[in-house]
Amino acid sequence: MLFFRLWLAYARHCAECLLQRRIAPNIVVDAEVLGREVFSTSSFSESTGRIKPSLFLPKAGARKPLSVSRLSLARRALFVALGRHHARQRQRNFYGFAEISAEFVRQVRGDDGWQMDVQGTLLLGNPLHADLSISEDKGKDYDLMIADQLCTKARFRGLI
Amino acid sequence: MSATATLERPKDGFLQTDTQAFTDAWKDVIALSSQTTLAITRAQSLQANVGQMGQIFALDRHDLPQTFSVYSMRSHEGHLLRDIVARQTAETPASTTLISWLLDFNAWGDETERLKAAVKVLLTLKRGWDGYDAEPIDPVSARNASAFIDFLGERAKYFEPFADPNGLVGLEAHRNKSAAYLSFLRDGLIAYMIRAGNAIHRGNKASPETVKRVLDALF
Repeated sequence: MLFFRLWLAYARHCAECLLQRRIAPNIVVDAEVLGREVFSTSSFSESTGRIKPSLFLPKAGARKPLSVSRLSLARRALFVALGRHHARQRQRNFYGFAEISAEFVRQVRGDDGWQMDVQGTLLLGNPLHADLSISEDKGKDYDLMIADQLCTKARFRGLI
Repeated sequence: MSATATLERPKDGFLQTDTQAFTDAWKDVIALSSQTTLAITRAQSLQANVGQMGQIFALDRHDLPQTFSVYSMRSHEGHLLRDIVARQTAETPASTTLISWLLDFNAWGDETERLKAAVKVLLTLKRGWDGYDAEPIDPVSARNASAFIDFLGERAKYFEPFADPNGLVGLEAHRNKSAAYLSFLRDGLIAYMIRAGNAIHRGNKASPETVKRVLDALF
């Protein structure tokens, strides 16, 4: 049922894209709010709500884009249910989302001119999934610089 | 008057105190107290607490007139950890107040101890702790972070630890419009990024001395 409703939301988004905005469904507009699922209390500060850089640091061996959900495209309860589903799969707890707008994501840049981008990437288990691009490996200090900008812009939003 | 206590960290990782040195030191401190028995009891408890925390310190008491005394708590290397003002009331001699304060674990455990304890907690994180296949925290990185916290001394109070998905320990600090992020590599070197206003300063394999100098200058 959860996945059916997610696909229904995606179908509605596709119809809107085609009929009103005339853009491809995988293009994430600046106004969209993106959420990265938080599965550990080590990923945010419980007292201040500040996101910790660990949530946005890529793994050195396998530098994959950072997964987010396109929260603006469906009811929040649907994404919370999806987060809980993922938590069960990974045997973790689900605490909420680190939320950031697509506009802010595109403002993230390195001091060498590299710029972060976001693109919708359809997954069978989450049609409202998107990827934040990451740079090639330029050193841990570079990754910290990017993570700092994301942490500054992102806000933790719990389940309550 | 100077009172010095030394605690030793044996190779097996358990902490124990140099009992005689500690007791001698505290005899000096409590000699001024009219409540000698009580003060000795507290000092003995303190000794046990200090043993648990593994703090290595020296206490120097500066005599000041009348109502209060200031004690400087220093590391064994002589770095100032904190000044303690012990107020004296009719019922409570300053040295007893000091001992009471020291016996309060939360008050006593200064920022560096709390921070090191928080770093130690990160070692409990198992593979996949972040839900995105993170590696467990490397004890070597945690040890390097703890050593740097000691090296940083008083300035460590601005930092809080974070776990890196690559199994490293990091420290972050935020002040006004500045931020500092340090990541402790396994070889003892540090990757760092310091943002001061719009300026970014970063380095990938810096020595602890270099990072401290940069922090002193920018943060």
